[in-house]
Amino acid sequence: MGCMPAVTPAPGEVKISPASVVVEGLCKDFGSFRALDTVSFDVISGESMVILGENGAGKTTTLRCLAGVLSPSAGMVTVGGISVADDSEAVRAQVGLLSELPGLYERMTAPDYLDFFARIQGMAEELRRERIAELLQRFGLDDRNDVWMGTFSKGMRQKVALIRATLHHPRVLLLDEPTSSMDPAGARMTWDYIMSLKQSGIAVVICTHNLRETARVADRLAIMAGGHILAQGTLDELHAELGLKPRYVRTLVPGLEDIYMEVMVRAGHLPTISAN
Amino acid sequence: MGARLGRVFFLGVRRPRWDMIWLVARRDLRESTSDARLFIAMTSLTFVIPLLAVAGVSVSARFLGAGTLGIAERLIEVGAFFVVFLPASFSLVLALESFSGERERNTLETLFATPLRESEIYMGKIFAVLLPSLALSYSALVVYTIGVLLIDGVIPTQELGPLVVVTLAQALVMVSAATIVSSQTKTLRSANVMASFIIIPMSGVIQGESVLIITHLEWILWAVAAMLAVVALLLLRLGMIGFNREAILAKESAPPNRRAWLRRAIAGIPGPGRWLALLPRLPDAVGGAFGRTRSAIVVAVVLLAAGTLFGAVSERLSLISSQPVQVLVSAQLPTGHELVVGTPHLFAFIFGHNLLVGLLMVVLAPATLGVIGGLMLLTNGFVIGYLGAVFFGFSRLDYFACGILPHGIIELSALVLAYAFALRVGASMVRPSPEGWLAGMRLAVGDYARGAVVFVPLFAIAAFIESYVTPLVLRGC
Repeated sequence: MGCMPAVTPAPGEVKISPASVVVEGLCKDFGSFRALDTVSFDVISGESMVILGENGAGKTTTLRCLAGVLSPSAGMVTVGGISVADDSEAVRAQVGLLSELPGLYERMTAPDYLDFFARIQGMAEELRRERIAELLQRFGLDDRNDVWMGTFSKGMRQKVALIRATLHHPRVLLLDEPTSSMDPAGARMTWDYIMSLKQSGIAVVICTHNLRETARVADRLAIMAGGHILAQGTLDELHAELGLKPRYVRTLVPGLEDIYMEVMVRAGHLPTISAN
Repeated sequence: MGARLGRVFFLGVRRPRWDMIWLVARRDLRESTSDARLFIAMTSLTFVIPLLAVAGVSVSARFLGAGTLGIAERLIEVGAFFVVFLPASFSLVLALESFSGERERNTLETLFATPLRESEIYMGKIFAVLLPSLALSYSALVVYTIGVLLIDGVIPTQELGPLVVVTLAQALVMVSAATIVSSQTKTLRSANVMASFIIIPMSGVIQGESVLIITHLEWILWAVAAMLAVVALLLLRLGMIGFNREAILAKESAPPNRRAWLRRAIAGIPGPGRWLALLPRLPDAVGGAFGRTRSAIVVAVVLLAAGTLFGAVSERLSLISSQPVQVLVSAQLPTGHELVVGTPHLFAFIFGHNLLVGLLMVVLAPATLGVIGGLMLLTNGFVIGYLGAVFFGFSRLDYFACGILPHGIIELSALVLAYAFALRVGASMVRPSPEGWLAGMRLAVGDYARGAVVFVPLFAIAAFIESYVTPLVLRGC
């Protein structure tokens, strides 16, 4: 099937729950280069879809189209029942996007930075203050409230960017390599947070190369290459579709990650956290 | 009225919300003032330069000695001009950094992923750059004025009004042009290179303005300020229309293949057979082009009339001294009857000159949004009005009419048409058609070519009359 013209769905045409993502026949061209070719999938509330693929597969472009930052060259994208082609501004208000390179304003403190984005999202002052304090504390950044973000490590920047993306309680969360720069403890904390958001009803779309975490957090998977989705479904569905037989692997328990965590906790560098 | 102007200004653009503009501007302002070294450099220059200028002017006045008060006053006025301009030039640096800097720091995508509208981000950046520059400029002017008053006991009162307004207009032009450059370039380095296209014309404007101050023609600064304000508004609109988050984030998928582009462009030129086939449809095509250019023709006529009126008033009120022209005219009047009928060379010169003007109007239209062509038309009107007034002073308006009317009616009509079609080319830069920017531009350029079918022969007829008929008519006057 080739790329059909970009369409705006008629009222009532959206197939599933309004708090969801529907992508049908999405194509995206940059000049003569086709970055996405008839990509289709959907994500319902409280579900996580992980997109896997090599570099340049079209994962980031897909997220940008879902975020209302890029408009589809053809096909349909709706977020929360609103078409990106029709009202990208409304879509952007419903979405939280964490991009692969979370550029932060280096000459701002984390609370000021987050407050700026919360204001853009129209959050009330009281709510802004509470939410920013709560999330900075959750990610262990509250002791650096008076420091410019230019001094932050890559992992800390990624945490601030994740807080920014989730600050306004988006209905859809789009994450591009959310833990690529984080240490194991930070990554585990982040995945736990993402899971909690998912359980609260947020639809989550994640692009990652981290296959181990994918298996833990993905309700469904899509595998992309060259702008196409090659395969999608749950892990069980993909096993069945590809005719793969389950196999058992021996794992050393406790593993390296558990050893690292235990050392950090005993030295008082980390609070006691779940080992699961 | 204001609401209507706003509607026109934001035509085709989602209208910005002021609270969001201010939010973006305030963040950028905080960032630009948070760099202590930059802030100290900017503020100290703002205060040091005026004080140095005051000292320089004062020393020069004392060196020149008594009896040179006029020169000292001129120095004070020109000093005020440069004191105001230098801090305003900071706006250029800040504006060039506004988008290309954010792009290099990867902060732009985050901003684009918010519900902010393009117009809000764009206007916010403009305000964030403009406000500190203007604050510094006006602070420098205050320091300078106080300094001059304390040391020399003089206030350049005549210049203060136009200076304040012209500074605002200048800063707005520089900021709006630099923001376009910044939003359309991929790196800060290329933005800085492209800045020459702003610096060179602005230096010309500033030199012209200093000449006006030195020659005691400060009142023309008001007109310069008005012209710069119009240019700035057009640039702002052009920038806002061209500012598109998609285009900025889109990656360049392949290096430009210039040869392939050239081959395609050459292949697109219709052959002689196609040109001949178009001939029967020409009258309809030309009629359609004139229909689409009606408003621009009205604008061109108004500009020519305004120039004529301005020229006549300038001469009658002696705003510009007409003494040298009067000498020339009084020498010409007795010998006018001896004019000889023109030669083919004269015809070719007049025709070629007018053709060149018509061509320049359209060539410069996209870059100047039709402003340069408008100035050419305005200047033509001004010269006619001015000379008419001079001849009126000699009670020889009849002689002037004999020298102008035979060819002038046709030549000016052709000039008005050439400008009107060129203006549409300039306007299509800032007012895209519903079919898209490129389609609008192609239609405007095509209409200019269709219009040329009428105004080029008119230029030829006017040149023929001017070289062969007008001298004969003048003999009889």
